[in-house]
Amino acid sequence: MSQAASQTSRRTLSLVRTAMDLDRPSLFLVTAQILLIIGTFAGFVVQSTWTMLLLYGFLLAAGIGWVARQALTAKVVTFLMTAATLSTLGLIGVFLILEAIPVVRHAGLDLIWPFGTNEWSSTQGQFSLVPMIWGTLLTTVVAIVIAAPFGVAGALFISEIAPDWLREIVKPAVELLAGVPSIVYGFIGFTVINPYVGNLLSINPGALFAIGLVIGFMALPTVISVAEDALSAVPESMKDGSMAMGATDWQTMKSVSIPTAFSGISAAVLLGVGRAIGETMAATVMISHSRRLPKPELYNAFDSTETLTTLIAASYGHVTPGELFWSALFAAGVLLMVIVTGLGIVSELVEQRMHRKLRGGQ
Amino acid sequence: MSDAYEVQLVDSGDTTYERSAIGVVVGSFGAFMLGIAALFGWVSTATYFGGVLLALGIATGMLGAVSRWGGVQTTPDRSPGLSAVLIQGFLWTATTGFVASNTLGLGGLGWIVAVFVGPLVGALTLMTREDLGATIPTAAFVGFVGVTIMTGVISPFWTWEPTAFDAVIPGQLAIPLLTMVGGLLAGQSSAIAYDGFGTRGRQNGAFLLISLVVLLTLSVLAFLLVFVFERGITVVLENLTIGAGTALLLATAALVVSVRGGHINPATADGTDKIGSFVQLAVVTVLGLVTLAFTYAIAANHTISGDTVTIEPTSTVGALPGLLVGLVFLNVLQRSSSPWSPDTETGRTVARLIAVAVGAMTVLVFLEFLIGAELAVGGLAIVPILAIVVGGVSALAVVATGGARVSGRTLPTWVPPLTRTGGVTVGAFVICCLHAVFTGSAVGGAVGIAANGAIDWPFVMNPSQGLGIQKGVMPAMVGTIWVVLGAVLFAVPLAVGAAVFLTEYAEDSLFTRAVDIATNGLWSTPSIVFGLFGLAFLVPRFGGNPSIFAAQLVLGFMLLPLVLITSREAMKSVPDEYRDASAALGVSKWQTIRTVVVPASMPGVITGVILGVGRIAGETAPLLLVLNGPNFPTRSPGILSSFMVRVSPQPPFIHVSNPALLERASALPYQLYAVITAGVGAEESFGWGTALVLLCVVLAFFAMGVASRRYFRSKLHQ
Repeated sequence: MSQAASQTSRRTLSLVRTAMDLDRPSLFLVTAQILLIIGTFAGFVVQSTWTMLLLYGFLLAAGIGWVARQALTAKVVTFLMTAATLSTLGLIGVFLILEAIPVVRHAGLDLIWPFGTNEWSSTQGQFSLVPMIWGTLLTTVVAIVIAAPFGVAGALFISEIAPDWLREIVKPAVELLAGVPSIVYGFIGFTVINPYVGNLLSINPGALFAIGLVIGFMALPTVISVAEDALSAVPESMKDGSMAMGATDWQTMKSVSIPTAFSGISAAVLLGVGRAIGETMAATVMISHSRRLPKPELYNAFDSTETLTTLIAASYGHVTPGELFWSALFAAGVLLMVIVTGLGIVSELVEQRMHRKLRGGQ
Repeated sequence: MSDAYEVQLVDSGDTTYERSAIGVVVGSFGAFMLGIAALFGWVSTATYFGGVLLALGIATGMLGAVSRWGGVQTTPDRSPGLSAVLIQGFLWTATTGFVASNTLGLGGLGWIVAVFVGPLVGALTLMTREDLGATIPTAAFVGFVGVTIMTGVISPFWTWEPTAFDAVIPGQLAIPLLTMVGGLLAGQSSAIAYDGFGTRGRQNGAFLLISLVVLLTLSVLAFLLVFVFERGITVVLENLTIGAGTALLLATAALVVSVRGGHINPATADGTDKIGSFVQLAVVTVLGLVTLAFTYAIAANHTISGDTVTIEPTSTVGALPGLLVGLVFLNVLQRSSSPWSPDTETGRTVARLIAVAVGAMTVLVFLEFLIGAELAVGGLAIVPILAIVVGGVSALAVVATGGARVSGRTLPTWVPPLTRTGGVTVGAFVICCLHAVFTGSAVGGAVGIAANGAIDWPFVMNPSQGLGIQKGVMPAMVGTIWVVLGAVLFAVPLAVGAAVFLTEYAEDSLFTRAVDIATNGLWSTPSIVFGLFGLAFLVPRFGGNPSIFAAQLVLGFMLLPLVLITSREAMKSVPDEYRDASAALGVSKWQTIRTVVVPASMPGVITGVILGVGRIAGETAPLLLVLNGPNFPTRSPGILSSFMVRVSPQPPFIHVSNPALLERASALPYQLYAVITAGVGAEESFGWGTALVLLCVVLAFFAMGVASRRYFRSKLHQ
């Protein structure tokens, strides 16, 4: 931590020194550009009428800077673009939380606490996200049971087993699978899978199990591509060494490649879980939108309830801004963001650990 | 007696034992396929499934027994290994448990018995030699299941209603599932037997299972695409009417492009190229036949009509298709031509005349675009006549060049080369088409260019609602185009700028690490959360209701991380030698970035943009929240015609606005969602057509992205 602090202070000092080295017009232009864009952004946020004027001012300053001091303006403008990218995530978090505050104040911890009043009834003012969280959990478990083994097997196939010509066919095919829009999966699920499963098992259409199957299939390409990257990063020398000892391909895979790439594979599965949790449209059109816990048993995956994402997607037309229902939707969004971002951070850390391990081992 | 025996040095796989093992593998695969066919309803579930399983079980058991006692030379290990033990233990626990508790009616006691039986079987498996342990338990399980099905204990009319799930599991589901599981197990065991057990055998079994998994995944993908295509193509092509002249022109253009693409000689290609060249040869043949058919239709004045597609024998060509084809031909000619620098004075005069003529035609046509009306002198339109004259002269030159080449004579040097005269002819044709498009008047009579009406494709060109018309997806397509265009204009400069800063200017610091985390976070954020963000942040600041502009910004935010990640990788992969060489020449850092790094990384950036656009074109969830248009719109948004600039005394003093951008609209994926919410049955076929169009659009982007990535990668490796 102290290393980062000293690094930052060193960098700030060097920035100040560079600023003092600039001549008057350049300094003026740079300050003008930065202040004007901050002003534009602030004006936009508070919905002031001066926003457009500030934007024109910034464009003017940037234009003059481009003509007069192009390199400096380019550096400043690209820095501002990077800052904009950085701030997007922050903006999303801030505004989602702002809109979710009313329902948090109304329902408090009941929103996510499973052992209290964990019912959802918008007419009675009861907003508990527990049934939705449970639905997301059930579908995600089914999805991962499909996506993890199939995904790792596919990654093994592409990186180790397939001959070159087959790899050239299978890899684009997997990317193609990732490219099919989720609404098309949802449409097929709605028109074909739901009636079929409903007739076969004599249940109401929209079983969480069927939805989990579809979502698992959609998360499969994510797991395959990240796991395949991890498996390809295993150094050839390790695999060659194993083969030189007389091991077969499969033994090498089992005992050398997979353990070495295990962090990467776990990162892949975590990313697949994140993708499955965030999947909206396929689930929305298949599910029955009954906002309760599954009956008769909690783990009955053949019942059809509601998930976090389908709650938001299905309620958009029936809710007016400002009321508690609206705020509850944003609370569900905040929860989704927290879970998925957390998973992303964990998988990033796991992947970093693998890279450190591999680099250290060489 | 010495312990001599024969050992085969080369494993050619043709001993009887290996052949029978392959037979069992094929049989198991067949059983697996049988189970899948029964699930799809192509084959009805019956008791003979049990017979198949019993046969497989017996065969697998015999493989193991022959290896143990029958004198076949195999290389089994002392024990099957832990994974086989676990699988067998689990299998037999489950089987015994189900049998004991359900069939024998022992209830919970049955499961307790199972907990003993399963591990017992596992221990037995562990203790036997591998060739028995890998085959006999599996054979027993498969045979047992087969007997159960054959004797009718689990018949197609059997049901099981576990109380925990509110579902009824019928025999029609159980039997195919059991057949699939049995086929998998028997297949794995016989694959292990094929390679003589031991490490090689286990490798074979594992590879079989993995390959089967991948095959399953890919076949689901193929099935999905074929299914959507089959259900949607009739709706999309319904009542399509093309003029034969236009169809002939399009087919000829496609034929020329395919032939020029090359690689249509399968005899000389190898590897994957061989497949590609076969495919290309087939495509060229089909196009050739189609061209002949259209020529015949025009000549004989005969209408070709399929199910719902009609080709009318008109010899006029549509203006827009003609424009498209002309531009394609111009591109082909330009790529294959070399600049012509004439030596003689006559040659240079001819070149100047050509330039003047082409320039005059272009200027006049764009004047017409600006005026919006035809330029005519005394009732005769200038542009078509000029174009016809110029085109005719260059066509004569083309014919003369061709004739000279055939007869072996040489033309005077002031005659331009074939590519130049051909280019001028095509250019004249393009000018005529532009004239027809801009002024709406036809050129020529029976053989000429019609302004519109050459192609009538209701599904693509009609709005989604209206009195007595066939439903079409035009408003949705226009909406998608505008939203995607806006997103690209917003996100790509931002992402490329940020990538430039991160790769060239920034050093590894807290800032860059924060940007990395933020980018990864943005990339994995669910799309519905972007929609919520748009609803909370953007919609109130742009008019208070959902609008195209808000959707453009939201999709732009979704495109941002994709393009940023690919641009950064593209810029990182520009070799440092380029930058060093540029610095050695004395070029400043910004100049280097502008003239060396950015152009060199453009291919990667373009590929990233194309793939990113393919992804956001199919996104529905954010559009639900921030675009939220009518379910079946009656007209497309007219954005180009709605730009306004006002000056007012209040801030901001110059007001640029476009009311059309602030309206709700529809988009292709949103239209599909609207079909679903409108209820099943009424509009399902329209939904399939929309799904097919959406799939085609997304797949077209994806194919372009993959092709561009391959093309640029091959150029880089030269």
